[in-house]
Amino acid sequence: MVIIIEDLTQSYDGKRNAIDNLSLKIDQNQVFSFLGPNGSGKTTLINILCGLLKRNSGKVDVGGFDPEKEPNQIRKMVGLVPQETALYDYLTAKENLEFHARFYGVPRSNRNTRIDDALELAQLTDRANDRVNTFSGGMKRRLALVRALIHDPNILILDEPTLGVDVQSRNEIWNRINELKQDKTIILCTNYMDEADRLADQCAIIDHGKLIVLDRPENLKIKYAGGVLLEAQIAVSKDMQNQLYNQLYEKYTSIKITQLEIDDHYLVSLPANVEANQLLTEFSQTIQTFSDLSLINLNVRTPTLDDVFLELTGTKLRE
Amino acid sequence: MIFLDKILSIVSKDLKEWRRQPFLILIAIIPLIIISLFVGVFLKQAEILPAGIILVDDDPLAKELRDYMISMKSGTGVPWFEIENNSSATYVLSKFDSGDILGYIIIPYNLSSRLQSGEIVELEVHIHNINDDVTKNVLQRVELACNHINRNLEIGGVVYRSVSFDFNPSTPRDVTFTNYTIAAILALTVILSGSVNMVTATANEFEKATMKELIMGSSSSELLVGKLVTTLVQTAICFILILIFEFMFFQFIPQGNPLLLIFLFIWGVLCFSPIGFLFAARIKLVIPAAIAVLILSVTGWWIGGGLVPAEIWQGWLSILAMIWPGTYFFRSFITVIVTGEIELSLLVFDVIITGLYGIIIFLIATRVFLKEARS
Repeated sequence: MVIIIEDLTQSYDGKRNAIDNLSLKIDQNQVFSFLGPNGSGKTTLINILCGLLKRNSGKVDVGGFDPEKEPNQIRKMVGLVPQETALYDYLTAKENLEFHARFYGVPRSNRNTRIDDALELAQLTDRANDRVNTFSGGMKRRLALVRALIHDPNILILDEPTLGVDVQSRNEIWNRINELKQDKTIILCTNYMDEADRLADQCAIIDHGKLIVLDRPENLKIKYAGGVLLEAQIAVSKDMQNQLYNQLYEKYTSIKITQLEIDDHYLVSLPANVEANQLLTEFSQTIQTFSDLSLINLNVRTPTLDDVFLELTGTKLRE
Repeated sequence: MIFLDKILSIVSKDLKEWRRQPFLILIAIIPLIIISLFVGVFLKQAEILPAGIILVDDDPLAKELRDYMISMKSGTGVPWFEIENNSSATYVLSKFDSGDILGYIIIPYNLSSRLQSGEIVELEVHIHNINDDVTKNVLQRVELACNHINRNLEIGGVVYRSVSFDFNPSTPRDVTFTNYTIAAILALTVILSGSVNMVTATANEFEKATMKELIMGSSSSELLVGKLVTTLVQTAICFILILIFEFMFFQFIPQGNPLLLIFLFIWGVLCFSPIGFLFAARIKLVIPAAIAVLILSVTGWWIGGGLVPAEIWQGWLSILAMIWPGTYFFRSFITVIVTGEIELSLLVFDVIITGLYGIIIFLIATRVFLKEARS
């Protein structure tokens, strides 16, 4: 089930583009993750893919159908887990699933089987007849996930599926998603980079409605955050500041030096595509040349998608 | 079949949620009960006329006349006169001047002997004419009391059969008025409960963020029809509850052809509930949207002839009543309930006017709803 987006543009007020000339292709049976800061256009994109929003321009093809013109086909093939879980609190877990199954045209003959299977998948069989308003956040998320699967869609869209859940529930949901991608295309919108890192086959980082980058998570980390990342907290006197800056920037083009709130303390971030030992040795030799420099903390680690994300979208707050 | 199944699933889900949230039922019923009680108590009190009787002597017939007036009651058992115990002229006049009593009656001296002698004796009646209705009531009631004294009046062994205006005390005028008001409250139930139920069924989806799921899973027509059917069922339940309440408190039983009443009920809900749809889509919160339609419904009820027939309005209120479609719905609904029948031409006219209003509001509400639900 392939999704093709071509030159998609969407604006709400005619001035600001929520989606700006976006083009990409999502292959079947994979987890495709959209990453982006708040207000980057992720939810708008989901709404367009689900047929909830009419696009201004561009082409969208979901499994051979246009969501805007063929909403009935899209309903059958897409399951949505919205950010808010959107369950009916005053209905029981079973009633929520029954409503959804009936609403999405699951045949009466296998409706009960599907509901029982979904409850089992969500590990909520023993709570089937309890009202949802008595459930924890994690239970609600699990129920929302299986609810979206009850009409057996080919495409599953997950908008922040683990928002506000505990570690155990998050782990459980991640396992389910990994199982589901065997026969479904999963679109994952998340703010949790570790989630995308662990689940996604492809990551698209979008900002201000534009596609910034699209690649496999491991490629992104190498490309934008280096193979390894050295982080050092140093203290250096004011007299030596300029000399330090000049020397480090001259030697390492990708280095970042951030002044910390403590006087004369700096955080040095250095991504590099070399072995960790080599980077550590080189950096140690460099800073030894500064007599007044104290090394407070030194850490060499593998970069994460967080590093890639911050590198590409910046650190400025969006809201 | 799928269309029907989706509608039924929406209705079934909505009714379960409604039943499990008593608050949602209460906001559709409590205002109506409060209005019923207020109007009921107010009407009963309005039927009692505080009055004074001045007795200038201890004549037995004068005392009998006074006692009869005190005992007079309406068909609903409400005393007609609230008469001051003190019958001295000074006391009664001071009460009249201060406005504590609306009128007073002076029973002249030697009433027995003067009537026995064949003299025509006049009672002096003074009334604060706060409105023509009160004056008419006082005069009618005094007339009735005089009839009682005149009946079988015997003078010198001759029994006089005096001609008297005698209206039937078992069907006093306040019963019709009460009937009118209760019928109007039932009409209000249709538009108030209808629009409030539509608000709760729709705004709830926005408030709980479930609207996106509904929009994604169904066409707008399936969703709108589902919400309308839900509202119809909820309003029917509210209507029956209010009807039971009116029967228990006022022994009220609606007149008219039940099928015609059912038709008007369904028509009223279909035409007036879409305004709730519009408010729910715009405001998206249950309580503020419900309060808005509640105020709108009660105001529309008052202007459209809920408390008094709309024909009495003057000036801009009269124009407002004329252009407000609710006026035409109330006219038909109240006429059928109170009199049991209605002219066909009048019914057709009212149905067309309210239908046009319903269609216009429905189209606007649908447009706003789809825009808001997808945003």
